Amino acid sequence: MNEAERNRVDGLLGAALIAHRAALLRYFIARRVPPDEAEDILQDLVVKLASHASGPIAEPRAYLYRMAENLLLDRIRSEGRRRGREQAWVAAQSGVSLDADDRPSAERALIARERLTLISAALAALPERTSSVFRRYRIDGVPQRQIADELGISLSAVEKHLQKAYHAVIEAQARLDADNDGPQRPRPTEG
Amino acid sequence: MTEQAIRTEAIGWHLRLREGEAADWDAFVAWLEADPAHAAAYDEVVLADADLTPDLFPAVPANDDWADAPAPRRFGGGIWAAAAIAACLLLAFVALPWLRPASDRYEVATAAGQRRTVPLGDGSAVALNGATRLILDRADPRHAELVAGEATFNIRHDDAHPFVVAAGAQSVQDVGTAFNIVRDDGRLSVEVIEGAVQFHRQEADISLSAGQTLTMSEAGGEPLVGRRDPAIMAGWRRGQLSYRATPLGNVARDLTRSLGAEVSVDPGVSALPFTGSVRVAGNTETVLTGLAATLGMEARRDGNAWRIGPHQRAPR
Repeated sequence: MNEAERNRVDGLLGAALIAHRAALLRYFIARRVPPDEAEDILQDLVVKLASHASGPIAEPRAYLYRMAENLLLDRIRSEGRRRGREQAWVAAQSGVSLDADDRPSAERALIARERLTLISAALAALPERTSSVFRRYRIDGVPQRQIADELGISLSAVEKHLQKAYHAVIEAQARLDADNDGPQRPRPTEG
Repeated sequence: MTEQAIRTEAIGWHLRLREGEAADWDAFVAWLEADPAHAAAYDEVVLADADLTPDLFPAVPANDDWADAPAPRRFGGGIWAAAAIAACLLLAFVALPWLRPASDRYEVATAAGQRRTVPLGDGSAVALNGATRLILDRADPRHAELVAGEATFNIRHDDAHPFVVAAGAQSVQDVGTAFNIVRDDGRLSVEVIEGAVQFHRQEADISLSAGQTLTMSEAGGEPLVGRRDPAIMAGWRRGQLSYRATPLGNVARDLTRSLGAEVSVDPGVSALPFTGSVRVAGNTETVLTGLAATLGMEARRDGNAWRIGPHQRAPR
């Protein structure tokens, strides 16, 4: 790639960032990120793009939103980790502690195991068809349209199965939060 | 609105955004801004979703009803016949005895643009992208050989029987795992989506954990270990291929596998690094002309072959 091409490429990326900066900030605020942290995350996004990217972006807005979403999820999860919660989950899941100093207490490990048991039980309690659709979608990564075709059911039927599965998993988690020192994760207020 | 109803909406957004376009994100922002409870409900959904791993799901029933996923047990038996009927709409599906007549090895293959998921027993499964050849062994269900193409393995780990995927002189052994392997044109690439794997080549062993990638040229040279967001790995399964500074020529080979049309790029731009994502769902022409337009190039068609390159001077 010659110099002129590289400049053009950087220009495209830069233009995408400038054009969508305000929209991304607005998105972070809508996701309840405090304004100063929103700027930080945006900065992370810029760094991430600048360090990895040196080519043009297809569908830049959706791509930027998706990257922003990943950074947000990392942030929400690391908040949980500060509370020791996600750390315990990771330890219970993989048997690996990320940081010796952060090794979860026996109690945290117990809560983590309980969490996995409850989620697993919630999934096992789903009707077989719902469970299959959910596995196909969430684990195999198959698009809803394709699942509908495979099973010969409508797209909205697929969505109904997925809704049912997500509700079951979220309710299992909410019960666990209620049992362990109240909600430790952001909970919705009654609207 | 009740908490339950808001949760239903939040789940609906989560489902829509996986393959969302810019307009979907705009509508999502408007929904979030309409009520502060919406953002809280959405956090709840994505956090619950992030906790889901294959081992939390109940084991797949032996006779599940996926039309394209019968257990590959008997060669030439009724199961294959049923599979062929079920698969003929979408899939080219070849099962051949391999080398030794008495062998239990058989090949599962897809043509470009076609896909197939094969259960490996015990809840493990392998998903084949297009233009892929995989050899399985009835006598050893914990072994597979990737001859060519791309496959994502979801392996239920068993310490006593580790799952091994051979790829030429290299092999990848699971340590409780979901991972994606590409073997194409002398290029080998491994991405670990969950858990960990052990990569083996000659005397060298390299441990890779979730979020790590390994690329190497089979002709020689050191394996290169890198990092990648597991959420965008094996993007072919979601119809969304994501790249960071990937040579355009490699992108073209991925597109060939996924679209079922021969895709190439002009030699002059094949090393150009591409960053971004390409949706490979739907019409091949739309996908390729859209990509070319984003690149400031053009897509030229010749039968079932496509060539992407800089604009040629208009014919006189």
